[in-house]
Amino acid sequence: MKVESASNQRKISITGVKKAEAAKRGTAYFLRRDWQLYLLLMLPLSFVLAFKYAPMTGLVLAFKDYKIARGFWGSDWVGFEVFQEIFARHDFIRAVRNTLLLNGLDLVFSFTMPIVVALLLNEIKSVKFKRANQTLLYLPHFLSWIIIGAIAYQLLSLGNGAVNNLIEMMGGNRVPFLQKDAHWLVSYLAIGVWQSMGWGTIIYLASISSINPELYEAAIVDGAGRWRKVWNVTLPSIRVTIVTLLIMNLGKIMEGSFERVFALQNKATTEYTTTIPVLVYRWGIESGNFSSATALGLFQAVIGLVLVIMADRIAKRLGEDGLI
Amino acid sequence: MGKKRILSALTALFIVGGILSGCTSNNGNGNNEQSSAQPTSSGNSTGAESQKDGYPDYSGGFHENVTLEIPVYERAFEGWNVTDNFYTRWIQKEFGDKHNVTVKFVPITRSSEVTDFEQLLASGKAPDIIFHYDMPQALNYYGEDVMQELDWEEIANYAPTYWGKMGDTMKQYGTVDGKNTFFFAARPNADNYVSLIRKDWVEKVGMKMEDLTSLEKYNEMLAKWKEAGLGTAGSSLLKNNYNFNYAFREWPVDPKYRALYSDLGVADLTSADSERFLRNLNYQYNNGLIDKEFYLRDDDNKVKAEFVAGKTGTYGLYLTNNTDLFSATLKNNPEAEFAVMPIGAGVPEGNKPQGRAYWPFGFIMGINYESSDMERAAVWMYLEWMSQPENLFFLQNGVEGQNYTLDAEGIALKNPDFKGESVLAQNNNKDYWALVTEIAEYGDPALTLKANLRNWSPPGYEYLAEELVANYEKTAEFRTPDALFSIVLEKVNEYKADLNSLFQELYVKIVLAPEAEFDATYEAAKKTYLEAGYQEILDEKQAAIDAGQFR
Repeated sequence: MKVESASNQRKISITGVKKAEAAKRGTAYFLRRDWQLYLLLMLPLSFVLAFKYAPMTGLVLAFKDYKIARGFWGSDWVGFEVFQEIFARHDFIRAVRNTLLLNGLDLVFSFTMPIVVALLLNEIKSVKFKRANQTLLYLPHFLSWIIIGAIAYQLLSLGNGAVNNLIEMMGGNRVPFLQKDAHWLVSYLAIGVWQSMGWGTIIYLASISSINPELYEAAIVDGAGRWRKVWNVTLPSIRVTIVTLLIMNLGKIMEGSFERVFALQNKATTEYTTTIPVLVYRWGIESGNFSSATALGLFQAVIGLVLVIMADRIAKRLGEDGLI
Repeated sequence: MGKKRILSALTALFIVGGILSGCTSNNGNGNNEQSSAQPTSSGNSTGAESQKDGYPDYSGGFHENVTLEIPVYERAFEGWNVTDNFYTRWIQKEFGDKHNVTVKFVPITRSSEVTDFEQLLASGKAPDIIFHYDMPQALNYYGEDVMQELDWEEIANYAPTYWGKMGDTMKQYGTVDGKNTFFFAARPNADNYVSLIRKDWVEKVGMKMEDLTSLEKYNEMLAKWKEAGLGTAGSSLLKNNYNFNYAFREWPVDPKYRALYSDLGVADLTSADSERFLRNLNYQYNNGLIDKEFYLRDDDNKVKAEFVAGKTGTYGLYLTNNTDLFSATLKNNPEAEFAVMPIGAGVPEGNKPQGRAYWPFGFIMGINYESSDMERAAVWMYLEWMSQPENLFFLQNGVEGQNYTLDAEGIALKNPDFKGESVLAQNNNKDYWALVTEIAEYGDPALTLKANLRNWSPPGYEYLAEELVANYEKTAEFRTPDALFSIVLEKVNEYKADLNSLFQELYVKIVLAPEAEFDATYEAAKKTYLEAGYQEILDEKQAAIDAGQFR
């Protein structure tokens, strides 16, 4: 113990000396010494400032009665009037509910499915077969939602969809996959899972591949079967990845993909299709009411931020590393 | 410590830089705004041109090159480039080069034009002209302060021919809140929209076209179609143009009632007329008389596809001589015969075949608030140039001997098979010349009618165009235009997009409801609709009507 504390003290004194030196040498010394690093830092920093922070000045719109012709700064300040107005709008509550519902369900299904798929892919022994499967699973990720929407209606529509034709041929009844509210919700989730599960496996597979093989060998020696290995080795090893992605996904729970809803919606199943991004589009782009759309976007972002911070705190309390 | 300080210094520098750059771009906007608020300053400062009636004389061309940005509808015609084709190049050569103007066409997607304009306006890239076919939306643009105040004298000065033709219309309809705002294209009194019906189907179920005298008879026939397994009536999702309940309105129309409810932009879900319309649609839906998935047919191609495939037996379109509707339908259904839907077929017994009359103008246009005086002058000169009969005729008909030949009466006979370089857009280039008129005209009305019939008749289907014209004349007395308000209806602008979406949701729900639940569903929908903003719109309109601020 004594030895340890002594060495600690020495460490402290060394850093103390370094600090003193640094203070003497000043900013210029470090700039000169590490100028390549600072130069390199400029690239991402300027990118973030130009494309992430500078546009935030546009958020003032949420507090103004914005008129295109008068510009950002020329428009009148109205305080929280815009917020009061949007909170009172007919569709607002429903949009918040739907956004939470769709994304909550997505979190349950679309978030967990890639983990399951990654675990399954990991069990495939034949490299060729695994590769082929991965490629096929990745493909939907590269399709635009507009295309997916069109294909979905070709396949699943009640009147003429190929799947329904098949069901009928085999003696079943036609199913309104996309044309009844509850059915729509299930189809929406299923299509989402199909589209994203392959792509989502990539990070998990990378994380799995970095697990020390000795752990598996040790588990085998201990007599573990496949299930045991997955449960006691693989999953705990990728837990950090899972938690990190979960926290990041929680931040998106107020967002949701506009394209996905837009491409899959129709006017007979509107119960779940009014979401916050849809309202932002309708108010901002369709009716040119940029103030309302900005206010709604800001509201959504603030809730998202709060959720991320909360999730991070909870994760830390549960003994995970957290994100921030 | 040093590192931290450097970092924070760098960060601060970037933030300040970012904010400053943000400011300068916005200041730029502010400057534009100022220049447009003082219309004469920059025009005078360019100086060298001699003055005539206080306006610079540009008849010999601008001294410095002016870029004129003209919006043009992009309708996704196959193989047609709206911004660069034989005619845009011809315009550049004939008008642009001669006046030192660079004419640039800005494509506007027809089906989402407001969205396109809003985006262009917000990014400061909107064309010099902002246009729309309907007054409520035009007033919406005005309400956003994106249109300049106009000087009638200036138009008369730069575009005497155009002003001579449209000046009175502008004086009558072009002012809002006492400010001269809009200029218009002419709309000669004619229409080529027609509803078609499969005559062979009508006859197959033992009826004749003459039997379709009322909605009741029509529904009877649809039931027979269904029984015979032929198909249904075509139907599509109602959107954008809410003129669906005219046949269900009472006649004569009370002007105040019309002003309150009749609005192309906001559907009058709560009126008794709409109730009757919806009740019929609900009946038709529940009895399998119309396309069961009408709410999925949200663009014309999808509606057309059903008709072409022989699944539906009715379809409405703007008839033109180069439509592929007939050949495409015949390919799938060689026995198909087409007829114009009889006037009475959509009208309940005892009602009049009412319809919406167009306002006496086509395009409603305003000048972009960012356009300079020279750009505005270039717009007037462009309209003047296009108003010249020979230029208009060329744009409408193309090259003589290639696109058309002139017959003895001087009417252009189109060559439908012509596919050469100077081929016209599928709607005879209308999106270019619609800035001055809606319909191609000759000097003499009889000649115009003859020419119209030719433009509207695909070979072999002349009888359709003739019947369409005959019906148009027969129903003329029952057509009324929507009221024009002379003030901006703020609530309409505020709730329009929300109510549009809500209307579609509610009306689809009402139509899909079982017949027994119609009343309850409709009552609930009415309540939702009123609470979502329609009541506020009605109140605002009522106040304007009481104050006499409508025509």
